[in-house]
Amino acid sequence: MSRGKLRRVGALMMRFLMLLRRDPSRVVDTFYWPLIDVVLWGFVTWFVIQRGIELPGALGVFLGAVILWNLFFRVSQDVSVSFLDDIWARSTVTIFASPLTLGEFSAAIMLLGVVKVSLSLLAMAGVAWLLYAFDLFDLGFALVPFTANLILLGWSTGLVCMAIILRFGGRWAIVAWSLPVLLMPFSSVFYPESVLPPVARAIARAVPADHVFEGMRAVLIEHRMAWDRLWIATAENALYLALAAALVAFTFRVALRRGLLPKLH
Amino acid sequence: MAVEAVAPVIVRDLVKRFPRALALRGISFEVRRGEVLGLLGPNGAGKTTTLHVLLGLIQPTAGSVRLFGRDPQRRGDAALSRTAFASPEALMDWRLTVAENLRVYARLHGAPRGAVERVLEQLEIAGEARSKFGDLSLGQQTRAGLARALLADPELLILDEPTSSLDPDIADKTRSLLLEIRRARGLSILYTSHNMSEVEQVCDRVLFLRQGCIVAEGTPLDVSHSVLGLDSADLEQVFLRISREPLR
Repeated sequence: MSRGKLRRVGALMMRFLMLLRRDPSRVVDTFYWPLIDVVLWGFVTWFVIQRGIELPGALGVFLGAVILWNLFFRVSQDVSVSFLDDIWARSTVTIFASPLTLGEFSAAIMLLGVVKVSLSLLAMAGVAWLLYAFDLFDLGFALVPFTANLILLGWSTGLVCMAIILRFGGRWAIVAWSLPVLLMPFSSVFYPESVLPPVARAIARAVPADHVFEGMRAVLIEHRMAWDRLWIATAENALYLALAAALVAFTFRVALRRGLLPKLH
Repeated sequence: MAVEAVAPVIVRDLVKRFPRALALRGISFEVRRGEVLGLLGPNGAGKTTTLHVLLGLIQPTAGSVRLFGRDPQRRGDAALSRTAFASPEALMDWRLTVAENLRVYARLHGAPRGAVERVLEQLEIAGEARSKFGDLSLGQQTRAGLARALLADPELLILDEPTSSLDPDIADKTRSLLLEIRRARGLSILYTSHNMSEVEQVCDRVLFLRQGCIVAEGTPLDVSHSVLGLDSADLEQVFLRISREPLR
């Protein structure tokens, strides 16, 4: 990447980080909702344990799941909401009339998602450890590929949301929140894939998050690394990210042809 | 021909067809180095569409557009790095201060060190540097937008109604500033405005658009002479004549 490209990506990241300081809703997105989730699911886990319900590794199954799910959801949301930020600020024309390219813009918002989710992850892991003595880092090395796969899936979902908003306008902003949640029932976040009916199970197999959460339970309950799940998730993510990037590029060309960019607000 | 020798803007047979409208019907024009060209015409004539095509925000249906010899659609970053755009419609982030916004755009455009402070002084908005962009009046936002456009010492300035929301005093100062920069650095300016006396004061040449076609072109005096037979520039009357004349 040339110095000019790096400088422009850096400029956008600088703006988004400035917003963390200026916009309370960004702080709420980064810390408040994730921490509320951790506290709530911590109590649910306590309830399960106190009632003596037999659920091996309950603490890890619920708290690990909620932390990793938040990671995926926040990355996805950061990509799409960062794009929406420009639509709401009516600065899309200002941004794209500059030397910035679509690739640089996308790279900046994807990297920003990683920066922000790292902050969320540290805060959630800290609260889970302080309140419930759950150490996310007990997942050990497995945490790295699990996290990486959820970030990749978050990028893909965020890019798809961005393409939808680019094509149909800001009134479709709701997809930024609803599309990632659509994947939740098929991601086996809080229950094993085996409880799903056959059709749902077939869909789940095509969702990389399903393999990640199955893999997480294998580490926490069976103390083994489910490499097969990891490779499938990685392969699916590679395919989905390529498709999502192609979709954004195609939609951007459509937007240029139909004159949609200046009307995005 | 060397790239440096070409006119900053060359438009040839530009056509833009949207799904429900034909916005530009094969227009051709140039903006020469150091020239201020006024792009005039009634609402819906195709002025803003032309500017957006030049900025690479809209893809032409046919014809060609070159900024400094490059296609802004294909080599956007090279062409657009020498170009700046300001319009009351092209805003910055309302949650950041004026200075924060300008720092972001200074980096985006590769502006030299100290550019933010310089443009704040030039546009007389240093007092608003710490105000949030969203808290500014429309006129102050317009000046902040002009400040943003001047950050990286552009060679071509594309301005869409740059003084429409400014009071007469600030509008006059802004025009003087633009003309001063033009004199000092040979800046080329493509300018749209509905203020005809301003256009007469600022523009070397004007180009009247109506329904996507160029209907008159030349110096304000030439156009006034050819359209109305006048011996002095009166673009207001030219505008009214062109807007009201039945289309052939």
